[in-house]
Amino acid sequence: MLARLEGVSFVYDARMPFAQPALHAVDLAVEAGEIVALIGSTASGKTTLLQIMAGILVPTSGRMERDASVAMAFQRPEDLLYCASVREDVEAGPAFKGVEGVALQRRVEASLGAVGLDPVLFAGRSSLDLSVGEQRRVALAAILAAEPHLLLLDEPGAGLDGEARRSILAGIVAWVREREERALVFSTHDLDEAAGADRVVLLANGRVTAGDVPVEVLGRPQLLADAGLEAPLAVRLAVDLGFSLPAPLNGPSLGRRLTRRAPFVGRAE
Amino acid sequence: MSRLLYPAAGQYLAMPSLFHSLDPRVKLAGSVLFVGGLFAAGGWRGLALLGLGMVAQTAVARVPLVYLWRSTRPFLILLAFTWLVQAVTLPGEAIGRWGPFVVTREGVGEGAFLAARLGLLVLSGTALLTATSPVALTDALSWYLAPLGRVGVPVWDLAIVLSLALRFVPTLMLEVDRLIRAQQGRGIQMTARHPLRLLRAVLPLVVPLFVLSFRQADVLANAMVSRCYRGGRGRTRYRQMRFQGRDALAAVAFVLLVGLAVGLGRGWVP
Repeated sequence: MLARLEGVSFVYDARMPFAQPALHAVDLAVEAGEIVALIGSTASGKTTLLQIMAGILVPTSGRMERDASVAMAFQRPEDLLYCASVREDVEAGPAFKGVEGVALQRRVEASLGAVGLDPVLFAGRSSLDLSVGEQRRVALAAILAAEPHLLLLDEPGAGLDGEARRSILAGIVAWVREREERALVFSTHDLDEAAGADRVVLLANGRVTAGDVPVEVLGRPQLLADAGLEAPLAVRLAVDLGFSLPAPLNGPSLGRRLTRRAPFVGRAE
Repeated sequence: MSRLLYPAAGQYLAMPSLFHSLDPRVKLAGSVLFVGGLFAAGGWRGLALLGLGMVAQTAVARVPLVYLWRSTRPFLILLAFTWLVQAVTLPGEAIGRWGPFVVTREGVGEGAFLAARLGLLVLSGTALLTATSPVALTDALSWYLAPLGRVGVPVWDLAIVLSLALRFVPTLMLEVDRLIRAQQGRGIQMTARHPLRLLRAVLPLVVPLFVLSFRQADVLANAMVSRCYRGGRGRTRYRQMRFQGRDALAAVAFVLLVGLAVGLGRGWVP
């Protein structure tokens, strides 16, 4: 078990007249090797939950236990780039931890490769000269270079086109799969992305309303509607037409290792 | 979305209070007078009275103390530094040693006085900004600067620049908070004891902050241009400032408080 949350609640501006509850009694456990997608409408508590798992926020009540090194990418991680070259930016995190020499070089190459950037072509370039999509990839590579056991990504593909989002996420998932005892938790508004995860956790108004294999969450339009989300088009069509859908529901698989496929019959209710 | 864990200094807090509803010109003038009083009151008694006045103002403004505490907490380092420098640099009766420095009784007392004065200064500014919206503050500033407009000074532009600068304080603090958390999230340590390492440690914060600041300034400029902003010429106001009875009472209260504090501090009042 890399991380476990038991009855975790969090309130912003606690003890003030305008205190704002963000999470209510959340229970969640993340196993090594898992890819977990957090979905939910805006302000449902996804970012707060990730920050608690990262240890950045302390729960107002409840307990969070973690047995792993952790790294978290916030939204718009490209804002963090500050060095003269891509290589220096990717090296920064591990260099602060004392990694150097060949080990550091390998980390940089592996991280850039994982997000689809050729180290030979990009390592020497300035981050400021890159497109926003390329900057995003560099910033995520910088997170990977820290080689955390628990990788937390807050909407890693926000603002990018569908193909870029899918390729970046697929590369990061592959990076996690290739290493032992790693796990990825990412938040997303793209339910097709979530469909490729091992487990989908649905948040609504700070509460976990579902947490299961994708087909059990994404295949229930009413559950999603209650959380302010719209089911993927394939699911809506299947339900409307009375067809069944195999998992994954839509889009390319993220190459999951766990294949706990629940029986799914998508019939009109 | 990531959000700030504590209110930034100067972040406007909309509350249904008497102080909030006062004419911004009175609040601004009162605050300037209060700050003048802080420097004119030369003793502890005057400072204590001004402190009491600040407590009363906070109570009337209904600003939660915990909010005020959290928003001014970052300045504690500055206050501690001020006190420390005074304690070890002023000549006088030695009461202890701290490394190569001699701590003097006079230094400790003067340092505490300066820190208290600085603390009240910060609280005064925070209290004003907490209870006055940026728009109201701009209106008040431009009203006071209006006479300069007759001699060609771009009064409205000055007011809007000052107002925007104040408005950007919480925005930049939000960015600083987000950047620190995000850089730490990827393993970068932003603290160090050695000066050179400290310089290296703050680079991941300073460089992105500069880039973001310029980007936000650019976005703001574009937003103003796209809304046909052209300064104060021909501009009308939806909210009109009106001086009412309660504003007169507040002005009198400010004058009495500061006058009494200066009198007490200077020994004019027994």
